[in-house]
Amino acid sequence: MAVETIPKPLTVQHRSNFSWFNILATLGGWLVLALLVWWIVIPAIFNGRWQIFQEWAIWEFLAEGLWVTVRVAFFAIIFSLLFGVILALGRLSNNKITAISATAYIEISRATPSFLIIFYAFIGLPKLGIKLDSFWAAIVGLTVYTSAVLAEIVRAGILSVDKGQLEAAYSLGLSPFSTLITIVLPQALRRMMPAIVSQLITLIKDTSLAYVIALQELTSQGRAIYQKYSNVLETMFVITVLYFILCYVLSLISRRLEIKESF
Amino acid sequence: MDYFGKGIIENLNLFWDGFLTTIWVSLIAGILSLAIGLIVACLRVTPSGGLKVVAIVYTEFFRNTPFLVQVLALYFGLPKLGIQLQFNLFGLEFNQSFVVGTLALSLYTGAYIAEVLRAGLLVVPPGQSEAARSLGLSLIQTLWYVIIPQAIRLVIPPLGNIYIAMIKNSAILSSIALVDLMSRATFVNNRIDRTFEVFTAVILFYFVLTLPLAWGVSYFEKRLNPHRASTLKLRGAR
Repeated sequence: MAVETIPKPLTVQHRSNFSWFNILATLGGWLVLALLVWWIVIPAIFNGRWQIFQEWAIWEFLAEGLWVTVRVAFFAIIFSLLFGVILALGRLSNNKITAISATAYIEISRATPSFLIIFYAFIGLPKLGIKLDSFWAAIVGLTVYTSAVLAEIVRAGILSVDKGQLEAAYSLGLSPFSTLITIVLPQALRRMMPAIVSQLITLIKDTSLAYVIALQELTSQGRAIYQKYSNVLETMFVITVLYFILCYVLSLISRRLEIKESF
Repeated sequence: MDYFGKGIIENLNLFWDGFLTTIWVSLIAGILSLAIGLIVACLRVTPSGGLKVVAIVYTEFFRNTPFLVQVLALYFGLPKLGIQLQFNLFGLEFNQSFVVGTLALSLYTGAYIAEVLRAGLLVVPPGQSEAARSLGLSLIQTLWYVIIPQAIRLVIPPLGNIYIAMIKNSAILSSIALVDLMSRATFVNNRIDRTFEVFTAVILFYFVLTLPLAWGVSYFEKRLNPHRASTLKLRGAR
C-alpha cells in the first residue's frame, strides 16, 4: 500500500540527562562537600574557641565596629555617587580644560590601589595642612577611588542614551539642565544600576582597608578580639559572616535589577 | 642639594625590590586565578549536583567578603591549623607571607574570573555547538572555531579589568608583611618623611603595571566589538 512507503517524520531525539559525567560530577561534588564538612566544619565547631561569643559584651564590641563600617560606607556612597555623576559630566563636557582635568583625575584614581589612596589621605593630607581624623580620611580615600570608577560607569550610561531623546527634549523646549536631570540621567543611571551596585559592594568591602589608619571598624575590632583571645579563625569567621550579610543583600538586589533590565 | 624626588632616587633600589615582588605576586596569582576560574566556571555550568553547589558557595563567599579579612584569616589562621606554607624551590625562598598572599589573591581573583568565564560560556547558545557537531566538526574543533571566538569577545575586556584590580589588590598584601611596593613605600616614607614624593613615586610604579593593561583592554574592546565601539565613538563625538 502507498501509505506504508511514506517515511516516518523526523523526530527530534531528546538527549537524556542521564550520563556518566553527570553522575560523576554529582558524586564528586557531594564528596568534596562531605570532606569539607568532616575536616573543617566539624572540628571548627567542636574544637574552636567559641565561648567568648556567648558573651553579650563581645557582640556589643563588634556592633560598634559594624556601626562605624556602615557609617563610613554610607557617607562614602553618598559622596562618591554625587562626585561620580559630576565627574562623568565633566569628562563629557565640551570645555577642553574641564574634560581633560576630569579625565586625568579619573584615570589616575582608577589606576591607583584604593589601599594606597586611603593611606595617603590619612598621612599625606595633614602635610598639606588638611587635618582629618581616621573616620573622615577613610571616607575621603574611598570617595576619591569610587567616584572615579562610578564616573566611568555613569559616562557609559550617558553615552548609551539615544541621541534622539536629547533632540526630542530640546525641541520640546527643555533647557540643557532640565534635559540632563529629567531625561538623560534617570535613563543612564537605571541602565547602569547593576554595575553601580556591584561597585558599591566593592566599596563596602574596601571599608575594611581603613584598619591600616587605625579606624575602629569591624575588621580592627575583630583584630582586637583575636589578639586578646587568640582565636583568629573563629573571630574572622564571625566577621566574615557579618560582612557577607551586608554585601550579599546588595548583590541579590543587583542581580534582581540585572534580570529586570534584561527584559 | 635638595630637590624634588631626591629621596626617591636615593632609595630607588628599595622601590625596585618591592616592584619586582609585586610583579611576581601578580604573575603567579594571575596564572593560578585563571586556572581556578576556569575550573569553577566549568563546574558552575554543569547541569546538576554537588560540584555546582561547591562552585556557587566558593564564588559567593569570596566575592562578598573583604579581601583583607580573607588575607588575615589565612595568614594567621593557617598556622593554627598546623599548616606552614614556606618552601624552597629552585633555590628561591618563598616565605609564608609570599605564599599565603599569592594564594589568597588567586582565590579572591579566581572567584571573579569564574563569574566572567561563566557568562562567556553561557552567552553562546547551545544550538551553535549542536550545529557545529552535526556539520562534522570534532569537539575540539567546535570549541576552537565556534565557541571560543564568540565567548572571548565578551570575556577579554572584563578579564583585563579583573587583572588590573588584582594588581591593585596586591597592595593589601603589605599588611601581612609581604615586602611589596606598598610596604616599601611606607618604609621609605617613615625613613625620609617625604609623603608626597614617596606616594607619587609609588603611584607611578603602579601605573607602569596597570595603564598598559587598561590600554590593552580598551584596544581589545574596540577591536573585538568594532560595531559597538564605533557607535559609542559616534555618540561621544556628537
